[in-house]
Amino acid sequence: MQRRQFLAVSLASATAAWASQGWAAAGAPKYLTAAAKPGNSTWLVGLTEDAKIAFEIQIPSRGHAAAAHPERAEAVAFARRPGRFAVVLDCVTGQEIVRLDSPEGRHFYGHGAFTADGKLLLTTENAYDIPDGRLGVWDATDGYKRIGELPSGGIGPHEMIRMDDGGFAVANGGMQTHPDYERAVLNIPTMQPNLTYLDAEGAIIDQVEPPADMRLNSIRHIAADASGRVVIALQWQGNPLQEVPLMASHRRGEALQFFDHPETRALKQYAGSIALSADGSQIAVTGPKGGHVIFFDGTTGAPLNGQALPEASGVARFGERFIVTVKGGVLEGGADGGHVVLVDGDYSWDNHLVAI
Amino acid sequence: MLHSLACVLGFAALSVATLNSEATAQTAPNVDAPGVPLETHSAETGLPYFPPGSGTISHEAITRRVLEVFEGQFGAFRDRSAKLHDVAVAHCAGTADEAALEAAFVDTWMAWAPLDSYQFGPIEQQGAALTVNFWPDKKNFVGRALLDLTKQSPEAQADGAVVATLSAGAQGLPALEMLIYDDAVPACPAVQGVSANLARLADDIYQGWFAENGWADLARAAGPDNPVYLAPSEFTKVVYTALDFGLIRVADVRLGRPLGTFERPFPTRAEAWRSGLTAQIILAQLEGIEEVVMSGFAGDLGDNTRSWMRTVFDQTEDRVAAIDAPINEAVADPMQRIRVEGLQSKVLYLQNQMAQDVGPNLGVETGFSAADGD
Repeated sequence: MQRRQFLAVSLASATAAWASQGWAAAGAPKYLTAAAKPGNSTWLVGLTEDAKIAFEIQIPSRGHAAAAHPERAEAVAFARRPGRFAVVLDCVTGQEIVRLDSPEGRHFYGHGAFTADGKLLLTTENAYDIPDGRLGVWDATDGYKRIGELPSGGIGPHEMIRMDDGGFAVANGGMQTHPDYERAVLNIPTMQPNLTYLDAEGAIIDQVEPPADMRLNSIRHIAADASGRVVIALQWQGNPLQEVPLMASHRRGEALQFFDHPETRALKQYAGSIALSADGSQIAVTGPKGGHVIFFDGTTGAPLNGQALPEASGVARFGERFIVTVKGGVLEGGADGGHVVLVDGDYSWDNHLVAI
Repeated sequence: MLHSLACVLGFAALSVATLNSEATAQTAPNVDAPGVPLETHSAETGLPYFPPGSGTISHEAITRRVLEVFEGQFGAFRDRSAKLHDVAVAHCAGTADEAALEAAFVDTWMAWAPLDSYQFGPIEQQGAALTVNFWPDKKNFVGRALLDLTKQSPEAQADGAVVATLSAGAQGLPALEMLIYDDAVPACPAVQGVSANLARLADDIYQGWFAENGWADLARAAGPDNPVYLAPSEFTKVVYTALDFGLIRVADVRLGRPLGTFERPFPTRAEAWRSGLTAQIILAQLEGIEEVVMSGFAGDLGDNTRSWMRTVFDQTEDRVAAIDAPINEAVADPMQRIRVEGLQSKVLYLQNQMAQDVGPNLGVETGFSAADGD
């Protein structure tokens, strides 16, 4: 889709917003996460601020991340790659509103974001036979009809987030995959990740790539503060014996900055999720493979400390600190300590916790 | 004592399944009565009487045995690729005929077939899935890349280092197949360069696994400080998952692609349709998976499970043999098509039986894990 059309659709659909209840009616969920229960049933779970279950909705197979509509109490749960479904849920009634199927030759990567006005949903997708990264465009004012797609700016777009200015940041991880090969990475010798910025109309306005020695450090998960600084959780695809930083940050117009941490090693070359605290003083990075979380100074990027946390998966801001999904519950806290709150339901959390 | 005996029997079990011959009685040195061979295996089933570790699971032992199987399989691909290059050079010099070249090519592809299941470690690190076997090739990337190659000087075409700089389509088995089997494309001198590069790729993959500090050492060193495998069971799980993937590859991709629908089969979507090797590749991949189950997991699976899995593998492999035409022809022939569909069902059944019997018995089911990452 052309940029002009994208904008036009965005305006045209302004009159078509459908009536729906707001988030306050949905048992006040503050966080969304995909999860599984023993026996491998798969769920989308809404958690309240005090880590109670606001709602739990079964989904067809394993989810990954979710996107919350900015106003309506609607959430879109995305299939884990190489899944082809996304489920739009009414978080008040627990009903499925509509199910999205990725078009022929595309599959979802598990993340997406709404435009600031809530009219369009963008989804990161793999055009695997080309191969190329795409952003699917779905009209949230018209039953989430697919209305086009945009280039993501690289191979393997994974997490995308909306920035405070209404634009978007897209983590093009660089990893080429194909459903015929399930989850195997096919292009490690040539992979080239980047961080791509789009304006509110979906046009690419800036890109940054890691230097040659960090080329194999996949840019996969991101968070941003109000000033537009993006922090990045990295996944090292090179020789596993090589020790590399797994956190980076970026501000447009500058080079990527990489930040090491004495406990990086405990993440097993894999940073899962990343979040900034609301006051900007701390950065939290989870390592689900290593069962560990590490904290950085939010301003300088200097390492603070870390903590072994079994199955540390999703992380989101929680007041001035963080909420981290862990085995059996959530951790509320940060570098200066915290406590685990148990959550009922015998859930195993999937990789991400999305703040609403 | 118990441990060392288990080791002796473990190797005995390995040898019988590696040979994959008809079941015969196997013997091992008898420490209690020197000179009197200890019969370790049933002549009827080929299974050991006292399977090592039966009833208990030693993931260290599984790792050791799986790596031996892998060393054999990856070593065969390296050796046969090297031989193919020798034959290609001889062929272009006029000292080896086309039949010899074809035979060396078939041997090489059959040695690659089992490795297709192992898309982790060195194959993934080196991007070998596409450089060795660029497929499916919907847009004729192989043909186009070969056209680029054949425009170069004869010396350049015969140079593996030149081929290594070309796109993946020109580098692997499908490129060699086109050179050797497509009469419109001359084999010489390009077949020398492509096979030289393939031999280099095959050696790189082997070294990636088995050189010092390679992936095999990483697997052997599984433990809390290991950057990849936090426990030996994690390597077992990766291998088990790879076998599961291999069976899905056979059913959904190798068979599913050419099958299409009854109304619309896709003969030229069959892998290696030019050389007619589709079914042979499938058989070789199934046998590779069977070897890992029987000789790698071996006695750490219960006797009943192994005996049952052997039966299902045999049934599946028989169904490959029952198809009386190349797969690309069979899918478009109503009578033969039924047999291809039957094979596909059987492979999925085999995958299901693996998931029910093998995974749970090894404690490595493929279900949800928060540590999977994405």
